[in-house]
Amino acid sequence: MNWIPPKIKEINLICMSGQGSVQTMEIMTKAFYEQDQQHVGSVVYPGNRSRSTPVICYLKVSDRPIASMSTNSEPTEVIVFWDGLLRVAEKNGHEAVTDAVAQLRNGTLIVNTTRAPEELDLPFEFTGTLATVDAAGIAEAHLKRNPPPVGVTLIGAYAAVTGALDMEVMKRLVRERFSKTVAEANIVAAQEAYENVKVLRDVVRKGTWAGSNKRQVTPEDLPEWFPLDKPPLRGYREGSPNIWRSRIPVCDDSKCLCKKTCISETLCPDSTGFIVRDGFQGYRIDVDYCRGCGNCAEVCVYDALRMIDEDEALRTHPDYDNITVAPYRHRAKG
Amino acid sequence: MKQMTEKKQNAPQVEVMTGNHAAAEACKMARVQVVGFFPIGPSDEVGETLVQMINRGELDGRVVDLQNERSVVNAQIVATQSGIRSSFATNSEGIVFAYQPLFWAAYGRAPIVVHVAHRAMEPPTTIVSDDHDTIIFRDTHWMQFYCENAQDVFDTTLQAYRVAEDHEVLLPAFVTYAGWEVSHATYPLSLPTQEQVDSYLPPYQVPPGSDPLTVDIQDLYGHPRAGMEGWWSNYMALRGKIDHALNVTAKEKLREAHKEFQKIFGRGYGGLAETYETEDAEVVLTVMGNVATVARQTVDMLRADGHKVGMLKIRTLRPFPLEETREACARARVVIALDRNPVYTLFQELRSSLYGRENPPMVLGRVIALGGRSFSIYDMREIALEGVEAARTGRGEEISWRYHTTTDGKDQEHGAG
Repeated sequence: MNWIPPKIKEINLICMSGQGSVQTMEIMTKAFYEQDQQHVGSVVYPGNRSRSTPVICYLKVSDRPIASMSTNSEPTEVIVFWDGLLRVAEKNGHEAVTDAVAQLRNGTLIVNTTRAPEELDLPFEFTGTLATVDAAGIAEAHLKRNPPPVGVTLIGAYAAVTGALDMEVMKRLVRERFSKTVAEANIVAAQEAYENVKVLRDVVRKGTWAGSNKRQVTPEDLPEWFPLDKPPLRGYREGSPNIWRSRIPVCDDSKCLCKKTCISETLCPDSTGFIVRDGFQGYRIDVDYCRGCGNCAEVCVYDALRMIDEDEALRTHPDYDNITVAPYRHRAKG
Repeated sequence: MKQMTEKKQNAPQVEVMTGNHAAAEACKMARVQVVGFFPIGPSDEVGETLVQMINRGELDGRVVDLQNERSVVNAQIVATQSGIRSSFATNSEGIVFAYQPLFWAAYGRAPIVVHVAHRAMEPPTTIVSDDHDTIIFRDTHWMQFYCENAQDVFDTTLQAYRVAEDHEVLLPAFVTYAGWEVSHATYPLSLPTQEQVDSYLPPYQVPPGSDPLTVDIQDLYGHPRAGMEGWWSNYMALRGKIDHALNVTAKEKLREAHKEFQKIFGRGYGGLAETYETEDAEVVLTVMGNVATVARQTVDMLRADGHKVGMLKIRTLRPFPLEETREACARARVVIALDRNPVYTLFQELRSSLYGRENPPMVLGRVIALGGRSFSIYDMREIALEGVEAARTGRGEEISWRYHTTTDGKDQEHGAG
């Protein structure tokens, strides 16, 4: 072929919705543009819910105008916002996540995890630079939110590992994008990640799993009629690896006073938490379906709800006593 | 490096922003006074940004947040009929909910502008992009603009307001762009000054004799109790007038508005349709919206190999650029319509504009990238080569759906891309 393909640098950002990859992508794109890259662009592959579904951002820096419909095919840098997503690809075959991770054969992989790069086992074949940083811990300490948005923190790690971004430019852009307190907290977190990222160069890993071929689904592959041949929606407790939950809401019943109208109940994105009105108990969740997004605790009027580490909650409430209920029995009478 | 920085300082102000921010920025510079708002992703960011602008005091406007999209469009109509410019952004189920007042806007001559960041229709539940949600309003006498990037969204919004509010047109307009791929994707955008925009887009004036405060509105539209005969005859005449306004007057005004735009802002997209290397093209790829970003590179790729391929980008589905299409496809042997909707509207439009004439080209339809499926230059290349083959043999598949993606054989076994 006589045509010279454009020189594209492709970066994939993979996160659970709520972790802030879209805003991260926005800031990174602006930073690349300011560093004299004429053609920058991006594609977002969104999750279906505003919290806790996989989101992929495909960022491109090129010497030609960007073709804005295609996802990346040969990324050289991948940032994974939660280490569980590496396993999502392998276990339940979320096709887009799968491909976005496994396409990286050779390059730089940055993972938000508490583990060191030596301990991290990758399910796919990979050579290059592997970096890990406990971005969630850093972001939570500075932003005081759980689950924490780790996007800007990870830009700090990215800048340290690749040297492709200037921290000063990044800090200015963060200040422009966010309100003052949020921006400053993020900048401190990013600086901490910049200093504390653990890098392991020239890694060679052999994975067992090569990638999926599921995106080329044709009508012949589908069953005749709804429902598709998937099993009906099942609870996360039954082993869906697609869950991003470290904490669950626990209700202090003595503080739970609203009784009839509950704002936490209204704002639960998956309708898994609600007040038990039949012989009033307080706020209970269905732990099979709770995504642990923390919306309910954030909005609770009387501060009765707290997000507690799930392992710890299980110690004080064995078998989820006083946390979970069978949902439909109580809801029907409410 | 230093030279580049200096060059950038002299150039117009460039900011990197998303498609939604560009739409909001355009509304702000158009000095909208009423911001209609009802949240639905991916287009809700337009309203959110405008509300922030009002709160910061950058925009002198008022937020109208009603209980659903239908109410918001109704409020927009009322605002516009009293001479106030308004904005609203919605998509998919939202705009379908507002179906009924869309007719009132068009046939009541209320020149409102609605931004749509495409999202595919349900079921099954999805939030990713294809054109289907506005394609279905093709037959409501609304103008429809399809934009390919943030810059296009910004510029087209200004053009849409200008043409819609022209006293000889007075028709509403959709300004649409792909959800996520344009609405949430960041691209460099060159911002004009407020003076430039003001000189291009004067404030909206209600046409004399149609101000609802001074004229009985029922006289204007005809009253059902005024007698069936008069009412019926008015009805058909009214429809005829509106059709003329859309398909004849609006076209001229659009071309004119575009020339004026080029004069003031120094950039342009070719009026109703944009052509790329179609002068001697045997195969013409016809696209709308951000498919054009893919098509342009594909044309470059195939031209390097000596294939005579060109691109025609339809900017306005309504009014349909008949003359431009016929001109661009005059020397073509195969025209491929790339539809990002399951009802292949572009294919139908191309057939009806090209067939029935002498030696028409073969028109083939390809349905691509529904529900946000990735579509790369290599996919486009395969489709274009099918067209080259059809031009040689004189035979080709009329309609086909393209399900699979490719990266030029490099990674096919893993389905990457």
